[in-house]
Amino acid sequence: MRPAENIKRLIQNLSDKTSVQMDQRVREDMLRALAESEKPSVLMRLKIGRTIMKSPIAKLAAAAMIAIAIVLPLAILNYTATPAWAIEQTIEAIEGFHAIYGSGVTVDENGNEYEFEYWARPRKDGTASGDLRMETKGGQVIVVNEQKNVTYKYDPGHSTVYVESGITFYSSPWINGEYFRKMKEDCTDWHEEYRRDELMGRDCVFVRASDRDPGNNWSYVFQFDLETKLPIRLKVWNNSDFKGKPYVTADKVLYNPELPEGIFDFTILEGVQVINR
Amino acid sequence: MLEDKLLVLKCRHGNKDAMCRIYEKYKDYLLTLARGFLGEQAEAEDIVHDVFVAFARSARQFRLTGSLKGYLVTCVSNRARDRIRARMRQAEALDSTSPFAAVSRNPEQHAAEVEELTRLRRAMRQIPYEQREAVLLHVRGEMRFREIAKLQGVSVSTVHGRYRYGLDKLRSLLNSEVKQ
Repeated sequence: MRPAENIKRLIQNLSDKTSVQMDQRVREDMLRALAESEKPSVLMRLKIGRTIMKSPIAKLAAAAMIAIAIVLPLAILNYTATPAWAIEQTIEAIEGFHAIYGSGVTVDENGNEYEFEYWARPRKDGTASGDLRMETKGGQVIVVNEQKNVTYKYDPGHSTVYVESGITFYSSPWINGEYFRKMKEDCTDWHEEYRRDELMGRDCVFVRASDRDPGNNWSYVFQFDLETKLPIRLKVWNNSDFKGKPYVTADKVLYNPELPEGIFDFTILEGVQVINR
Repeated sequence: MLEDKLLVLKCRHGNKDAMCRIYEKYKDYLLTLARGFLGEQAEAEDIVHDVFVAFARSARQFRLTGSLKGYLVTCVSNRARDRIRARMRQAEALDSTSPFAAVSRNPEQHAAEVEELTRLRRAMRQIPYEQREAVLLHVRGEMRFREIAKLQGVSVSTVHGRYRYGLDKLRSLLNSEVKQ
């Protein structure tokens, strides 16, 4: 009689592998679906537009559109003449955020580019980042845990984790109201341009500014959303003339993102060399 | 678990690498289960394909409440059940042309395992679908009875029963084959 354990073992041995053709088909369709999943908001807007047009009041409004079309250029002129944004609004809006997410590209001193994703929370005193997780596309991971007072730096090339006592990697100053207050004070050149970001479908103000203080040369392009007043994209150069590749380009900045439990913990995998320093 | 949460979070931001990583991580596991449920390679591949495409489509709104692995298994299982129902409606006969792939170490062992797994596959087709699902999800899918109960919409004791009957039936079918 064949024991049940043998049958279980047999079932556990079932192992199918996907074919190259299947992998290709799934990846193509899956990534297309992911790319298209950004579009529903536009479609939804169109749908709402159509629904509204069907109602009698919308038909009346449509007639009024002709009048509005004439007034609109004047409104745009008025809009550009009177700034819809002031840095003080951003300073007010950005206070109170307890976490930030960013993704983009950073450049090291040798000009090597690293695509990164970044999650961080401010330190208790609010001066710089405390808990932090940064991952690059190349597999490098940096995790800072403020409570445990430890920094992990994982180098996949050498399969090594450096465990460093204290917070040895951080963003300073923390992007808060004080950061923008100081930036406005220190920057000698400050240009604001109002335009619509067609890609994101948002009205924005683009601030181009540079700090020519001796020993503190930076230049910035910040894109602020006119509705939320918050910076949603940024480029920072470590010179005051916008020369060369930006030191940091953040294509996406989110505030109070969802932080999975344990995101600021680091698990050391088996077989990885650990160096304490 | 944390890695999965991070991957899901990245997918919500439209990260293609994270989506591919999830596929790489679970594709073979899900294909094995799908094929176990249905027997047919092509159908199993279609199910895994559809599950990942649907996941990608909803990734930006997706909120992970349990484990990602559990979620994907549930999706595969639901779709497999739909296929079985459709098959029953069409009264299509199952055909068996290729055996399960086996994990083997040498040619003789490989041949023996393929033979054994072919018998297993044949036997599995002869047990009721709910029992087959319970056995596969518990033994190969490493799911708890509680999780399977939730998925099948029945009590834990019913799942226990289905599992026990399924395993007994498999044993009896395989032993009768050996005797012949």
